[in-house]
Amino acid sequence: MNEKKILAVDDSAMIRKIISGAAAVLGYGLLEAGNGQEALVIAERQPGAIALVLLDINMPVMSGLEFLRAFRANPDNDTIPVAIVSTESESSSVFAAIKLGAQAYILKPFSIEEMERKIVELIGGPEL
Amino acid sequence: MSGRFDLNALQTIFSEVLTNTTQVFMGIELLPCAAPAPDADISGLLILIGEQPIVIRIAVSSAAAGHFVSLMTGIAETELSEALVSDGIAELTNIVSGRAKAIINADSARYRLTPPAIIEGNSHRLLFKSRTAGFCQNYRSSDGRFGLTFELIYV
Repeated sequence: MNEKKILAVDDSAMIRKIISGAAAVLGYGLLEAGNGQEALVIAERQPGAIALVLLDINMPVMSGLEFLRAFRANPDNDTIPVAIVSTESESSSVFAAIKLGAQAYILKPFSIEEMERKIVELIGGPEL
Repeated sequence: MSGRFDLNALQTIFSEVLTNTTQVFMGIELLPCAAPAPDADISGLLILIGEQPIVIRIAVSSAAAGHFVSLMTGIAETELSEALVSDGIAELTNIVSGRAKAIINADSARYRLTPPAIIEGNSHRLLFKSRTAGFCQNYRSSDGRFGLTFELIYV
C-alpha cells in the first residue's frame, strides 16, 4: 500500500465509493470529505499525506471552488494536484477551476476503470 | 435552447443523456419499452429552474436500485447499505440533470438545478396538483432484468 492518499471530496457517498475502489486497485489510501470545509480540516490535520485531491464543485457548506481557493492559499499545498470531478461542463466553471489551480477536469459520469486511468495520469500507478 | 420553450427538443436531450450516462456509469444499455412502469420504491427528483420549471424524476424498484448502484460502484448488491443505494439514485438523477442542463444552457439559456432529493416508499406515486404536461418513458436494461422510469413534469 502506498503511503500517499487520495482525498475524495464529494457530497455523494456513492462517488466516494467509486473513487475508493479505483484508489484501492492502484494501492492508494483514501481520505473522504462530504464538503469543502471537511476537506480543509483533513488537509490541515494530515500535511504531507495527500497525493491528489479529487474535488466536486457543487456541495453544501463549502463548494469545491471555495475549497480550492482556500487550499491553494497555503503554499504547502502548491505541489498537490487537484482534479475537478463534476457534471458542471459549462466553460465558466472550467475556467474558474483552472484559474484557481486545478490541473484536470473529470466529467461525471465515469466508470471505475476511467477513474483509475485518470489517477495514473495525474500521479502515477502502483509502486512495483 | 433559448427563446420559446421546445418540449420535443428537451425530451430528446434528456433521453440521449440518460442512455449515455447509464452506458458509461453502469456499462449497460437502457432501452425504451412500452411495458407498464415498474414499482417505484425510490425516486430521485430535481427541479430545473428557468423559463419553464421542470421536475425531473428517475424512479426504480428497490431491486433495480440495488442492481444499478452495484454496477456503478463495483460493490456486490448484498454489501450495499440502503443509504448508499439511495445516494446512488440521487447521484444518477443529479448527473443526468446536470449534463442535460449543460446542453440546454449551451445555447444561451440560463437554467439552474436544485440539489437532488430522494423519495422512498414501496410502490409510491407522485401526484402534481398543477401538472400541465409531462413526458414519461419506461426503460428496460439490455439484459431485460430491471426497469427504470424517467419522467419530466412541466409545472
